Amino acid sequence: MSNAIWGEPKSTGDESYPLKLLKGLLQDMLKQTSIYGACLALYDKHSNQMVIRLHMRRGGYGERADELYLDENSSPPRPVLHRNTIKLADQPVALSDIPKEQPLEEERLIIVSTTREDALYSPGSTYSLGQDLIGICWRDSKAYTVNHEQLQQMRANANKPALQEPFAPSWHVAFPLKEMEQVDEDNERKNSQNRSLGVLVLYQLVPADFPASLLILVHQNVERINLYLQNDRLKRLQLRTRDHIKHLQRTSSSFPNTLKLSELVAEVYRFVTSTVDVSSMLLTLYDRDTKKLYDIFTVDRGKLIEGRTDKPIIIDPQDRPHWSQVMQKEKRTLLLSLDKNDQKERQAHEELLSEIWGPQASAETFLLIPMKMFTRVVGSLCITSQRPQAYSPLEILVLETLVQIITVALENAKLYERPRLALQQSKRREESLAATVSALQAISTVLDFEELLRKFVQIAARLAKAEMCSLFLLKADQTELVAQAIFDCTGQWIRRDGATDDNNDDHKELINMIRLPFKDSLLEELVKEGFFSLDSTHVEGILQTSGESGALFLKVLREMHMQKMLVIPLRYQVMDLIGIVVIHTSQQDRNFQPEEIGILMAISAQAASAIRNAQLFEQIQEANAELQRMDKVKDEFIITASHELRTPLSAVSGYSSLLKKESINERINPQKVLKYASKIVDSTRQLKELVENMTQAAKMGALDEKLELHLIPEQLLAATETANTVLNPIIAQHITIDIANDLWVNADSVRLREVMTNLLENASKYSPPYGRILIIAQPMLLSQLPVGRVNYNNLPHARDPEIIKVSVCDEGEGVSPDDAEKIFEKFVRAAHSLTTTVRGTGLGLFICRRFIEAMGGHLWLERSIPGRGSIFSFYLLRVPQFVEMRGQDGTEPEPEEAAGESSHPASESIGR
Amino acid sequence: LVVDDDPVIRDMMMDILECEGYVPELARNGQEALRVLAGPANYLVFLDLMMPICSGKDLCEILATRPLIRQHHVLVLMSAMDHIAETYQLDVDMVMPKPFVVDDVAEALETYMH
Repeated sequence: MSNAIWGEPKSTGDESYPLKLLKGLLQDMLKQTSIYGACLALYDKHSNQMVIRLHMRRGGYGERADELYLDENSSPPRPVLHRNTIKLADQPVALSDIPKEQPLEEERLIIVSTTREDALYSPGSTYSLGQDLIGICWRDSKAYTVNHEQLQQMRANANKPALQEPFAPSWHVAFPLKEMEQVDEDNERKNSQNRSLGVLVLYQLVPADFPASLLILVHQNVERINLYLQNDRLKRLQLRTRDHIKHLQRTSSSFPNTLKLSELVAEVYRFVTSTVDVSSMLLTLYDRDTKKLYDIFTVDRGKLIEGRTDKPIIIDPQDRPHWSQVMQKEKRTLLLSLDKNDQKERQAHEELLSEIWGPQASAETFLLIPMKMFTRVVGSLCITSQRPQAYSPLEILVLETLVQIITVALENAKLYERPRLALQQSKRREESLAATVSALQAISTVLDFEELLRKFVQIAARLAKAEMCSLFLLKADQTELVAQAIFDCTGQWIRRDGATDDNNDDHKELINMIRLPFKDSLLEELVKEGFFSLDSTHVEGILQTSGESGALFLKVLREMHMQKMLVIPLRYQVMDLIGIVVIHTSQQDRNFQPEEIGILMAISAQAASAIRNAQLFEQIQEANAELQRMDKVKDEFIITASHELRTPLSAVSGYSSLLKKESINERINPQKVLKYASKIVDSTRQLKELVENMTQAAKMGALDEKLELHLIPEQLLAATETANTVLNPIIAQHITIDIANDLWVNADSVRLREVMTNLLENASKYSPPYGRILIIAQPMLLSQLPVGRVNYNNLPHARDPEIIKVSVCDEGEGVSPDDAEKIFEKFVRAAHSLTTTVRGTGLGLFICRRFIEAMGGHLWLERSIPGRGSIFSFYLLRVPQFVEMRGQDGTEPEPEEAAGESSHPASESIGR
Repeated sequence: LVVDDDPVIRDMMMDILECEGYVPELARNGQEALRVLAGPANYLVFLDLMMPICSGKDLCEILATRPLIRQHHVLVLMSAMDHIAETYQLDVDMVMPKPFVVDDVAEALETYMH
């Protein structure tokens, strides 16, 4: 087996022929004939020349000391005295004439071992094709006979020195040694020259022609030599094959464990170099996932190009069309014998020859083997040699097998590698998921708004591995983004303002000072993206236009050396923008990875929900508190109401039982019956009123139920006097009415009277019996009303309409400022109303306000001084006086009141 | 003595008591009642629990500190059923739930006036 070293091809050290056998053959031939000398030149494939391997002649002429006598056991030279026994030279050469045994015993044969250039057929001398006798015989594959002069001439032509021998052969005859046709199994690949195994040259000193009889013998011997050589070659081939197989077995058994590409490549390298002669080698892999070619191993004319295994050259297969054609389409092994002169063939495969392994101009043999896995080609092994015909079919077969083994090994490795990678990847993903999940849990379990925000920025910063994270929420009017929480893991922000957990509120206030304008700003455009990142120049650009609050933030960021920021808009249910999360980092070159952004966006989405939930939760809590308050109010009302209801009920109960008892006892007179009965009727009416008030108020509570109103021009004075008429018999106080009779308002007559009655009743209730009650009306413009007293819901079209303000003044106990608005709520009476002498359900003012508002006005407590009195006022829109018509109609409401005895028939219409 | 802030109730009590043959005195609140009770006569007092200025409860508590006055009178407390619990700690002779009928009053008179 050759043991080639990269780059410098070396002649095979071991003899590729059976020297001993050949020696015996020549010896026999010389013994059997009168031929003086025989020389055997054999083909050396490495040098592509004929090399003289053996030269034997009879002794007797000019032996040199350095020449060996052929003895039975190659003993040292014998004494010269033996030489005279050689007499055969003078004898006729006819074979038949030669006594077989006798002369041989006396003969001494010499193995010529001189290496002198001027010696005849000195061993080791080489002959290229067509050079000298041997070269010509080789070239023409024909026997040649020349005389000594001709031979000398040939040598001169081949620029060899003239022979300096003590003898001059009369003729030389050369026979080509050829391989037997029938055992040539791969004749397709070889030309006829290749079949020449060598040349046998015989020469004779006796000046005579080459005897024909000798020819037969020579032919026989030539055939024998041929057979020997061929036999030997086959034997060697067998040996080599066995070696190859062993090697391959070893290689294949070591591969499945070798998952490392570099080891695999090293193994290939070792194997290839130990098998064949290689000057350059290129190992290319094709990855069908990335659809790219990877040159992972390159040796350029004996020089290993380092680092390819770790950093392969990546090439698109389209950039190597020829490779793709040969490998992936044709999928065949390509063997090229590149004749230096045949530029055509070189050009055809230029791409393969001039790849990254360097120009392969000096290559004589080129071999490209596809790495086939089933029908796919997953790569190629490419080798060249600077020798012609460097790779025999057998070697190619071996290399193909090797390639097959490494292909399988590589695919296996890939198969192993893939789940391993997938496992690693899924592990990483699992970890990040776990982090996300715990983050999400942390976020979603927090309902407290502030805590949620604090926690979120902390988690976001940790997940992004960023130094700082801040969160801005969009104000309801969308004008600004207000910072809500800032987390920085460096602690500078905290230290900066000295805020700790103890003064969280200060901290929070400070954070809230940071505001970014949003509407019509660059940010408003940017948040349309799922996320975006800004570098320091962008950040400064935005913040510098953000006024004082932006400048503050900029200052903070500068102090903390924050360079880049990643902004993720917070959206609730994907749609509604509620704020932004900003991840800050001081690393200028930090690129946020898609996975990180994905996670951040996921938790941001979750946070958006959580924030919204927390907001809703707060709202619900507020609403709940309100409900609880309302509930309490209702409870109070029920107590009050039951107390109020009980009084008339007690009267009904008492009088009716009295009536009954007296009737049984027959002590009763008609006056008493009338008295008791009317008391019962009064109490019943009182009860009825109370119940009606309550149901009315309860109905009004039902959200925004439109009251059925019939707004018509109404004379204010008439309505007031009606109310006065109703109340006058009941109340102790005197009511003074100061209303001009030309004041007309747009109102529902029934409701207006009800309001009037109620207000006057209230005034009377809370006033001492001697107190005065005054009711006045002033025409004015809407704009003259005190601030906050305008009902914007029912504004007329006129910009500043005329209105009439009606005020009811009393000298009662007054309302405390705390109760000023409360008294207009449902069921509410002034504090401790249970302990006052005043009766009532606390529904009056609520109902009145609702009525007035429905009529386009407003009712409010204008002034109240505890102990001295209150002024309740309302306004309504003024309308022109209806002189004639109202003059008649003005009296109309009165019969209605008389029939109903009070304003309360009105409530029946509401009740429906 | 009838003590009630509500004139309707006062009137009714008067009517009932007159029918039973008594002439009641009237008071609008605990304060007024106390003035009457401090006098020499002994009274059966129909006392309303809920009153402004000085409630029945207040009066009871005041009387509890003045046994000299308290011992001459019988207290009948008039109270709604939902306030009955408040009357338990009060030193009264009888509790008459509101609304009541004539017979309830008659029963009290029967018990304490004979």
